[in-house]
Amino acid sequence: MTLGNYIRRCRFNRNEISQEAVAEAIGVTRQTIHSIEKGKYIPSALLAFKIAKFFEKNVEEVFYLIDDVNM
Amino acid sequence: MTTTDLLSEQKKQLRTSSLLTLVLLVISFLILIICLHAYNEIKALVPSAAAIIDVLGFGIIPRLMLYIFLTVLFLSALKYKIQFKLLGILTTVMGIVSFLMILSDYAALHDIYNEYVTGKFACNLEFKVLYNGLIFNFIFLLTAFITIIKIRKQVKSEGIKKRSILAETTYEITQYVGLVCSFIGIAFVLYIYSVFSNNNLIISEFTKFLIFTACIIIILPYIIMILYWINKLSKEKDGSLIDEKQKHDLTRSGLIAFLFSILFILVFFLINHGRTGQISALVYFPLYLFATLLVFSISVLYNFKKV
Repeated sequence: MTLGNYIRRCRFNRNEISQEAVAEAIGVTRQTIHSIEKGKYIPSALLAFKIAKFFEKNVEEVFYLIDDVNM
Repeated sequence: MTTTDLLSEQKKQLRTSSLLTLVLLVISFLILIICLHAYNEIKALVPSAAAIIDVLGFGIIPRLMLYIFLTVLFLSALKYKIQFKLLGILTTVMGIVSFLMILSDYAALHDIYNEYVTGKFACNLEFKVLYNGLIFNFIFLLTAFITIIKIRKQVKSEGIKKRSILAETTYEITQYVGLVCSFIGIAFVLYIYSVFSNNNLIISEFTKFLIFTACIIIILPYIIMILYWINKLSKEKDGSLIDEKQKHDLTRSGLIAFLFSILFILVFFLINHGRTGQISALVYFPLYLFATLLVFSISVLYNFKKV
């Protein structure tokens, strides 16, 4: 089971804001936002909430669970 | 002071710093030309060589100042997010090598003096060291010159961006510097090991001091980067040194480096078990340090880049 996200969509919906701008607002590096967006890194609960709050959405509207096929 | 005023002030500081560094670079270049002339005169046993040697002694001061000013310039450029990664790394490598060459140059000149005083003039190896030192120093000056010009161009054309990826840039460059320092360190230690163990040379206290001094010089850029990183990021408003992904990557890399270090110690122990000789005991710690740093830096960079 892993975590998917709609961060890219949220960025585009918010005047196509850059990853760098999101990172600066939240207080992480651009590379962290990029890693999360690509699904290469699963954020902590705190960071997930911070990202959701930045986009003015609930956590469930930004992140979702991906079930493994074999489960 | 408004944000615009602050940025102008920062640009002015960088321009001044880079200009001073350029001046020192030109002076160092001229000193190297004098060095080349001096070595040729000494080799040809020309009497005026004695006067030139006095100049060489004074010439070390601007050259040492160049290293200091260049370090300050690089750290300032990092602070204001000027991009010069590959060039900066190359210049750092050449800077370390050329600094070590200064030590070897003076050792070679000292040997030549001792030989000439006793009437022996066959110092081919010493002159080879001197001329090789010049080559490395010229390459260093060339890379430094290009890097400084690139920094000045960026300051002029783009201005200084607001900080947002300082942590990421500094984090990445610190690992590259660690990688480079560890490579040079391992090469140096293995070279010392092969020289002393193949020739069964006795290691004097002065030799030990020289070896450890060289190792400290090699690791110094990495230490400077770490201290800079800690110092700058500790002033961040939210007080965090690194973000959670960096923490995650560093932790994972630390574990890998730790496991590697156990393996390394085991291999080193098996190779040297039962052997007599000072050299193994002497190089053990530097080799362990550089090898572990190499594994750590590679691991962090791999995690950083794999996205």
